[in-house]
Amino acid sequence: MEYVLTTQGLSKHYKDFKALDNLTMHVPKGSIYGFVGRNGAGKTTLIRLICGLQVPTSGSYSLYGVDNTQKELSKIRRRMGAVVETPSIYLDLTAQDNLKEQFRVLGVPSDDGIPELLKLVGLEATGKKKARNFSLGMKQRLGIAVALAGNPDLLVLDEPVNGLDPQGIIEIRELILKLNRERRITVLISSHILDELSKLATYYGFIDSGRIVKELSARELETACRKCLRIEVTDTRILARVLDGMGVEYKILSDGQADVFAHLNISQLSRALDAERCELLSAQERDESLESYFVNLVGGASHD
Amino acid sequence: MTKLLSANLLRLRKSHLFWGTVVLSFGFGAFMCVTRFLEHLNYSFEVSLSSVFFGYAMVVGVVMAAFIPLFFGTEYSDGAIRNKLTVGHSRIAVYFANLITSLGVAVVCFAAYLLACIVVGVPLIGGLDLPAPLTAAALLGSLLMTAAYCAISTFITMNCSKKATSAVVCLLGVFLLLIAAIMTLSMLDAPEFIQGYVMSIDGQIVDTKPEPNPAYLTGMKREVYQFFYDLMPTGQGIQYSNVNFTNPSRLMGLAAVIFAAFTGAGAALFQRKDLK
Repeated sequence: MEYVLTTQGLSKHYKDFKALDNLTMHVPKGSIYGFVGRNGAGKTTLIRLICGLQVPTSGSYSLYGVDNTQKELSKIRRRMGAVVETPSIYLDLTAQDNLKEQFRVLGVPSDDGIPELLKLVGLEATGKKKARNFSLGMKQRLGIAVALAGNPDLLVLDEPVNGLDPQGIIEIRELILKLNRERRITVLISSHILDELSKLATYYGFIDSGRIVKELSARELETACRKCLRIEVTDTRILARVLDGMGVEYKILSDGQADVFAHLNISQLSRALDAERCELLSAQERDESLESYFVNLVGGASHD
Repeated sequence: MTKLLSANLLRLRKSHLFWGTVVLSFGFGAFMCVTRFLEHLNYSFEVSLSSVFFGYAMVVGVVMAAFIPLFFGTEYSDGAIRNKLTVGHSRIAVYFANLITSLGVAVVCFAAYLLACIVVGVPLIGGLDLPAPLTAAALLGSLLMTAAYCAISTFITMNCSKKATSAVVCLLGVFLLLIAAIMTLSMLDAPEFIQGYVMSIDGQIVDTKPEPNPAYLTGMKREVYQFFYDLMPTGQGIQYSNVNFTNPSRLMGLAAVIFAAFTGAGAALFQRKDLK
């Protein structure tokens, strides 16, 4: 798999506080990578590091295969755009002037692309209105337009729906999906709003206390969160034989545990196992949401 | 860095703060000329353009101490500095682009003041009656002193993430330097001898032999005070505005040292600064 961003043992310390602690992650090309973690878990710190706003205490990261210690990284950065925390826009300029400014920063010779960008983010009708008078959603969309000014391949968005109303959340979500599907832009999006992320992300990285706890694809997560019956038996080899006979989908977890993805008649299963000299110890219905998956992963209340 | 300079220029063109500063500088020049003209009319003082032509050297420090944090501090308060770094511009380039822009603004403001002196001052109080070499030295020295001011304010602004804090620190710093310069000047200007007076029994006032002034600075102490007076941009500003300086090359050299020291230290600190 090709990765646009990888980190290797990345750490960032502020005096005695470890904001990032030996963090290793992989963002696949073309994905929408949902970076999930509680407040203070280290999401923004990681984004600050990869945007070059701060320097790692130890470890490294690479963008498009170029290590952060290499000089070529500054050229590679041209391929990324970012909105870190708040939208980075001049409040006393109009949407158009903000984009003109970023075009100058990037050295884009012509301003011809500005109307298209404004249309893409739905700000084409803002005219001479200063960004100061924009709604939060409009500011966020302008921030994304500024990040898109260099036609990036990687877009980094830090909590892009924070504080937005439902309509604003939908607009940002649709914009991100459009950018990913139509422009093939890889998106790294950090959030603690899991429900919202689950509507976007194709990959997930779960961060807790500055470390990546788990990385998995949306499909793997879906499987992990799928409604199932967790069965505990004395021998899963016999259970597998019985379930094969019943023609149901299952996953063996250990010598004594398996998840069954079907609606089973427990009495029938128990009799079938009994006939094979295998005891059914317990059966528990599981319907894990992304939220409960996350809580189980990072240890729940003890971490709050 | 040309891209960053181009972006700064675009923002300057749209900035009310910039145009306001230029207009104020022009207005200040016109005000100074009219004030001198009125003094001439009311009190028959002999006035010339020389007495106001370099007056901006006294205030340029305050102007830039207000302008630089307000203009470049916006990059922190609005977060726009991140847009420059995220797309691969080096911190050194960002620092120097802002420094060069601030130098350009200072020159434009100085030029606006001088333009006002020429447009308003020449018809009212006549032309400049200074020798050309002295005018050139004062002009060049003032520009170097202005560069030193810009370097100090850029140093503070680029290394302080809070716009309001950097504005307060810059302005407070300039005013403290101004007070220090005035105090140093008063000590340097203290007379070597004090003339004593005695009133005799019949009411006559008689001069006595002049007594040495204990506050008069001599030897190494005087040299140190003179050095700091020349080193401080505010001290230089007083000298240039009065066109009263004995060693212009020394003043220019010291201004260049301040510029280099603050720029070097500022860029090095900014290079290591954790940005949010």
